[in-house]
Amino acid sequence: MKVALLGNPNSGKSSLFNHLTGLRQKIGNFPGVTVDKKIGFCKLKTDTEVEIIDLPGTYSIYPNSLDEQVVLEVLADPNNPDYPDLAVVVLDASNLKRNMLLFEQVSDLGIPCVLALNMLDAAMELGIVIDSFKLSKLIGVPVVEINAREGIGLEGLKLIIFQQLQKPELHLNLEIVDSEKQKVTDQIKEKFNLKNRYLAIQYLAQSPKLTFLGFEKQKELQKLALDSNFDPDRFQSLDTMLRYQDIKGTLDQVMEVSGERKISRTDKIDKVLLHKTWGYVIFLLVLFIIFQSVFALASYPMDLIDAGIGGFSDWISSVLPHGKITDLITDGIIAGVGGVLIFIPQIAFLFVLISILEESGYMARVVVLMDKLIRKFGLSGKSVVPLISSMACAVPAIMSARTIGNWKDRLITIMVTPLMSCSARLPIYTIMIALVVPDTKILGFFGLQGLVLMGLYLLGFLSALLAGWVMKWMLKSKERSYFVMELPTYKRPRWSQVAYTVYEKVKTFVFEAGKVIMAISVILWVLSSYGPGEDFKIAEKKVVIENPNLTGDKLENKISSYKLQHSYAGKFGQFIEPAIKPLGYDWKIGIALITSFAAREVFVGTMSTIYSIGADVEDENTIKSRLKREVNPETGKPVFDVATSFSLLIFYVFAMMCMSTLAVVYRETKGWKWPLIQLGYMSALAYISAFLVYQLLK
Amino acid sequence: MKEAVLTLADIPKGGRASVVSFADIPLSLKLMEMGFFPGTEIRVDCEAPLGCPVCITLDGDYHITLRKSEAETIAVTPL
Repeated sequence: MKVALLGNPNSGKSSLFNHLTGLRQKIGNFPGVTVDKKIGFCKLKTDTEVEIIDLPGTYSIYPNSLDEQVVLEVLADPNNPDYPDLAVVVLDASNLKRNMLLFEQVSDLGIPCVLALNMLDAAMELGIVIDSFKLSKLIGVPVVEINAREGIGLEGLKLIIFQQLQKPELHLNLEIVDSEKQKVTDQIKEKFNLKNRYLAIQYLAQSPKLTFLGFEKQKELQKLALDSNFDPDRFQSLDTMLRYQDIKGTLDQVMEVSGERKISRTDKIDKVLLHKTWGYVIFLLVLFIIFQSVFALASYPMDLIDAGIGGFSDWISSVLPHGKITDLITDGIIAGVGGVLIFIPQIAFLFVLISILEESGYMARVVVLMDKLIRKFGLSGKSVVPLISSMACAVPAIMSARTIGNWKDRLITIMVTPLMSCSARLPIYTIMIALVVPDTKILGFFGLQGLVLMGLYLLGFLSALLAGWVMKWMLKSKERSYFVMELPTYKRPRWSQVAYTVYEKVKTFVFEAGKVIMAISVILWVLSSYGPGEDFKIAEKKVVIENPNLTGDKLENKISSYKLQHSYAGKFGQFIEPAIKPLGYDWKIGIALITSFAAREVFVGTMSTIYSIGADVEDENTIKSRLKREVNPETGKPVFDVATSFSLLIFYVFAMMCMSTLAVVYRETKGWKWPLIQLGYMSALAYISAFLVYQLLK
Repeated sequence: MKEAVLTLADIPKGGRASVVSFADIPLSLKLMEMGFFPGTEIRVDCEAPLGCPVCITLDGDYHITLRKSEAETIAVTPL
């Protein structure tokens, strides 16, 4: 048995889903689209378990965006594997009239419903009292009062779902169908073997959006609509109006609104957060706090992890016998894994803060604040959500651009989003900043390192605007789109939801990115421990002959670096050195650039692997100290001086080094054209800017 | 000469109005789904700092934001 959760955006659907399924849920994709599909299981009774599917929030079955289209495609196709036996429609009691529209449409499609009346506390505050028993009697469908946030009323809901599944009762309001072309409707009903006339008329009204029908049938339906003089817009408008009339008639009997309309808490908060000046001051402050806390608070657990890994590596090499295998474990695997683990605190912090912004309802206000400002740059206020969540990761951010209805706005957003600094760049920023920016305080408490970090993020944002502005002039589009959207009321973040999101993201980072980093670390170790030709084999002899006075560790060191230079990895690095020398990079950095092409977070892991080969054993084994002691053999100065470090920082601000992002852009734009253009322009930007920075600071 | 129609965009901050009609049909479909009808009472809460978009409240604690260009397609009578 399948039960679908439906509801308006912000009606508390996701909370209910989490409470019903606990952690027994999995996230997949709807076929053909990249909309997240959340499925979980719920025990209604000891011996009855149902599958629960969480459908995207929508106001009606007439979709305005790709997310909403999923709802239509599932509900309009009885052969869809996700077609539900029953729908739980979650209603926001403080906006009951609007919320009932979706219920009426779903019920008319012939899907049995249970109404879950949520947010009664918010309704109460507005002086709204609802007689849910009477409502249930009037519409003939069970209504259950719940509190989805706290998980109250769920046992009753489960029982009612169980009963409704046994003996479904439908609410039908087919006034609209009766008023429309009966003959065509019956014709479609017969031809497509449909049980329901409202569904048949939806085939007529929305055929271009019913992609499961296939091109031939869609065309046939369009012709039918034309021949019978059917106007889809007029139909939709009539459908909506007639339903609201019916809903109003019902609600007038069950709902009482007492007293004057009060100024709500949300009104009061909005007065401040959307204020002409304070709104922006607060927004900047919020961003500022994010960066300071990501840098300052996360540094303590990071130091611990870094030291722990160094200690572990030392311990392993002291316990295991000397040899190739031990080297592989300490220099290859542990160094690589360490490069992943160390960034967990920062990524977790960033995701905690961003999900709090989303959960509380503040993110929607940022859209309002920024719309006019960034519209000049070819973006929409709605681009702000992808841009901000891209500070965590560009992949979900690009997917969230789906809420932007206009293709041009959406494409520009997709194209510039990867310029926002994501959490995978953070490791590189952190290391490089820690190397060259002193840990001093400005004005007593602003950390200089945190300020530089904020500057890098700002640079990413400004370049995203600039790129958007350029693209705005290059792309032509006449498509109309709408900005209108709901501003959710402010809510206390659900901490369990925040924790769950963070857990999911960190897990994905550790396992998905970790796999790549681990594999590359091992390959890299092999490539740098073996080399072509005689040079590599006779390394030891040659170094001893050339440096007869050296002994002990210094000799070891010399041999190791000679080996690295003549290894396969060394050859690669040297091969590209001429191209990257103008940016201030040597061949060792070159190796890291190549390996991090698929995923930029590999950079630090690679650096730590490369520099641990040929390092003093007694020296402390942290990544930072390894980089710090690296000396340019020609000049005798540190490799990571200010010019090279900043050149690397700027390079990574702009460079498109992420296979996953390219793959998701390919999926979202349905072709290779845009991801390739993106790769091209970002690489050019990275190279040129890094070149300028190095030449200026040198 | 065409008579000037008062639109939502003309209502000052804090003002109340009642929706009369829509000039943009596709937009009106979306607005109606969100509970915006001829006869719906609205209150203009604020304009974003740069004058656009506009934030309004429909009956209850239901807040919507829309651009000024969109507000201009909605004819209203002030209350």
